[in-house]
Amino acid sequence: MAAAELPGQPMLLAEHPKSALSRWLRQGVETHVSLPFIALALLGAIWVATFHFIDTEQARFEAISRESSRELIDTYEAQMVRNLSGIDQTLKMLKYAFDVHGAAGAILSLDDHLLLPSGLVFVIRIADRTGKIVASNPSAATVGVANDDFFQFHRDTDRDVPFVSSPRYDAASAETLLSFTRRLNNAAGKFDGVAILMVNPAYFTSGYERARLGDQGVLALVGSDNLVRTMRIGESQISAQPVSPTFISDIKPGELTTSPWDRIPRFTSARRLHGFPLTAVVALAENEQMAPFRQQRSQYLWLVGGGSAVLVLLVTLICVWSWQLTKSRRRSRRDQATYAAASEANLDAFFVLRSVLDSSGAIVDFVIDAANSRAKKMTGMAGQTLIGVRLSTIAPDYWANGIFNDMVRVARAGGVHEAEWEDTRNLERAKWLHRQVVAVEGGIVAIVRDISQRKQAEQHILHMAHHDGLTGLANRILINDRLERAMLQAQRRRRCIAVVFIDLDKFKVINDGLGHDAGDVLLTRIGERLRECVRREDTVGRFGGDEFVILLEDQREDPSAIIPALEKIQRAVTEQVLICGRQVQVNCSMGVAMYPRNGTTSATLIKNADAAMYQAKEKGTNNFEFYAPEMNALVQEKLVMIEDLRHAIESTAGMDGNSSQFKLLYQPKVDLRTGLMFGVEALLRWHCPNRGIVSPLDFIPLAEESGLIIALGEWVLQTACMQSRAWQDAGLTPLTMSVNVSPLQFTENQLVGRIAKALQQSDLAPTLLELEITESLIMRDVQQAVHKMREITAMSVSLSIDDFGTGYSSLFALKSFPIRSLKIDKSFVNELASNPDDQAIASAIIMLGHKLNLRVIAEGVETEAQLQFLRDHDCDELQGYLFSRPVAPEQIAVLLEAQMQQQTLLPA
Amino acid sequence: MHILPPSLYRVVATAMLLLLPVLGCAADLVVIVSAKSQVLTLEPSQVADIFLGQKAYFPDGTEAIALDQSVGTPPRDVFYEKVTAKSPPLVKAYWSKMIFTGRGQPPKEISSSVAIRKLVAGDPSLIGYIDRTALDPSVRVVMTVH
Repeated sequence: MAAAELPGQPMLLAEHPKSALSRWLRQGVETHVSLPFIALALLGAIWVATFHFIDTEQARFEAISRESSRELIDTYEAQMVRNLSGIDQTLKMLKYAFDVHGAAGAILSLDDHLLLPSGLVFVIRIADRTGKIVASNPSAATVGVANDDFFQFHRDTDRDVPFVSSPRYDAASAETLLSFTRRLNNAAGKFDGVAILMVNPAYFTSGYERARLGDQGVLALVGSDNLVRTMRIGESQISAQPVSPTFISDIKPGELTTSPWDRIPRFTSARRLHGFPLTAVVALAENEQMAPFRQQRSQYLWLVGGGSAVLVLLVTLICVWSWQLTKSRRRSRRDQATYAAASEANLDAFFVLRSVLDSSGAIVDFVIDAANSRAKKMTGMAGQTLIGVRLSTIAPDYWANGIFNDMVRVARAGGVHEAEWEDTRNLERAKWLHRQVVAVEGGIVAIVRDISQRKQAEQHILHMAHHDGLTGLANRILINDRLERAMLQAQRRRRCIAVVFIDLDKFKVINDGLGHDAGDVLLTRIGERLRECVRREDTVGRFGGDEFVILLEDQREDPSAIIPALEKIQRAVTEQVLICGRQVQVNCSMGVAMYPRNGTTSATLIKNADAAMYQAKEKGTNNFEFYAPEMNALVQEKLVMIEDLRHAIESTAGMDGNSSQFKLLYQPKVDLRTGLMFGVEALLRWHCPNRGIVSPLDFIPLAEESGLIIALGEWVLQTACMQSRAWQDAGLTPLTMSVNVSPLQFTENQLVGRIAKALQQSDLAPTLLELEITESLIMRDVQQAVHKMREITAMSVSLSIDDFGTGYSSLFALKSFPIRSLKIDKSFVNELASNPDDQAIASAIIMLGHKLNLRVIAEGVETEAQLQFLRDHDCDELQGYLFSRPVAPEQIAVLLEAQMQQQTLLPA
Repeated sequence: MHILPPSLYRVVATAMLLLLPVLGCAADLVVIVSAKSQVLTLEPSQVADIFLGQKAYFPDGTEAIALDQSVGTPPRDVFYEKVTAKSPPLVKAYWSKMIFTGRGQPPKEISSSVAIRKLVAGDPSLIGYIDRTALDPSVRVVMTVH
């Protein structure tokens, strides 16, 4: 089957040149290959977006922090400016009050006017020109300030500017204070002391708000001398310490700067305070400001990380699942391709049928799901698709012939159903098909095979087994079969059957005489006639050889009712047949057995019909006989004897004469005139192990009838010739050997050949052999007999007519017979001494023989009287008990030796 | 529980014994308003709000001006300790921040309980705290400091 006829098969795609590309593309769309890439891309996008977002957020938070830092410095600057202005205002007012009221009254007058700042926070003092404190609020023990930096500054500088001292410990108030001072002048403008306002440096960082600045935020004042005046980090107040000269100048407002005092990065802003040598500093700790961002970032990273893990897990699961799906799909595709290849290569038609259900779930039809090309061919739909076609469309007859029901049963119950059926839809080409139906899920698979050829062969074999090859009639097997069936039917209908056994009389004569081909033609013709002369329902069969059996069914109990039928059969057989240009006519004997009276089994019926046939044959030719129970035993005996005979002949072939069941005895023939034994007649004896000595009168006719005589006769001829030769070899006087030839032997066309063979094998002179033939045999067909006799005498073999006088010999014919002698039958010799009729016949035969120049021999001579009569009438030769019984060859030798001495066997 | 060394326990115990009579006197502080005032009684938190500059009005809506004892005097320290739960440094820090940020000025300081009583008696908007011993009918006790 060419693969090109099957487009669309997966296996074909695989062989296509573009297959590598297409397979690659197909794999590309397989989920388990593409999904990881998609997932990877997705993950990449998510992470890029996340980091971008985080960066944006960081920038946003940093911007907010910077902005916050700048806002705080603005606020701090405003607070500082306001406070410093207030402080300076107070100093200026103190200076004014000093000018008006002098050192002693200055503070009191201010207090009176509620112009003094709260003594709780601020300390107001006045020092005189020597540095001695002369007034103070709150009041305190006076301590000189002459060595203080501010005092020296104001004393030495007459500029009217405020001075901010570095923080120093004030013993009076027991704390470190920052001093703001102004120079006091007397009326002449000379240095007259210092107005002092002292405040704890922490005052300037008391605006620290934890809510805005956090735990590590910074508020600080740094002097222009790079000395930190006050600094607050969270809750801690840090006192004076220097910073690098570039620290303030390097600060860009709000930008991230690492604080030099604790190495913490901070969003730092600084602002120079106008009018004072101070710079305000605000710093927001980066870690605090960015903490929300860090927390947020950490949340984002966890979220995206978790999401990524889930995605990877899901993708892995889907890929594994998809990979397995692909694997199983590929496997199933391979299975399908294998199945398709296998089913396409198959000579059977494959149909995969899916059940079609009605609303109640009953299967009402099948739809073809798959079919191979053999299936298309078988359904006559080659070149079209069968897929989707309904069974009811292509095989509506399945509903009528029960195949559909079988399919439904298999689809329902499972299992395998096999059957053969004849598809007669196409009447001209009816096919025998074999189907195998196997249940599968949701339907069935039907495998259909065309078995027409096998069926034909089977039918042919069946016909051959049941019919005779030659005549075409039923054979033994079919006859038995038909008979069995007929008996059943007859039993039901209470009717009878007649079994007619027909045997052609003398068929063997024709078969042997005219050849087997002629016999075959005869049998064929008779078979045809038999068939023509019975009803169609009757059976005509050939039982074997020249035996036919006819079954006449549906008969009445009265046997005589079938006599017309039997006569019709008889006429059909005896009608002349033209064979090889010669008209031949055979007779027949028929036996009839009736069912059920003469037997209830086919074997019994046929056996009994056979027996009846024998009975008819015994009565003479062209007879028919109904079976009578007593005949059975006789016929049985005969049949058994034939069987024994056959066995004896078969075992004799290839054996020496001694162990054979057959023996030849020899009866001397004596010349009446000389009294010398001149020859012997070979006489056959059968010693059957089962029945003892059997008379030739009993078994010779059976051998003749059964055709066994041919083989037996040949054996006799050979053995006799060999014996004669043996005597000669023993130095005895040569004797004429007489051998009887039966009618069947004589008509058999190989007789001459057999004689020649026997002579040749024994190296016996032909003149010493004499064949005795019966009178009746010759008279059956005189012309042919004479012809055969001439052939024999041409070999120098003599002939003699046995039993002369018993038949109706044509004396005219006798004249032309090439014979040497006539033998007077025993029956005439028996009463020769007393019966004048016998005497007349015997003397007539002797006379007739002599007139025709034939020698005459008398057999069965037992008495002196008989001898005397024959001698008186000049008979030539004798044989009989008077001289010798038939004896064994050794005794003949003895007799011959005795004869050589005494010269005569005859009584004087 | 022994977080302090034993010697320190002794010092603290001695200090407490010495302070006992002073605390005994200071315990008898009363918050007063003018007898002419409509205010009859005040809660400690209301008093604290007025003295810490958080409220400028009595609960009835009339103006309230606090008068303080001098810095460093026992009545002042006891008052702030009991009423605002602030030690003197905390009070100072509180007012530093208030002044620095411009949100207020501490109450005017009056040098004695009697002076305070006299001022309060004459002005219904004033409120002060004095020794119970300095009480007279011109003023009304609105709260007793315990």
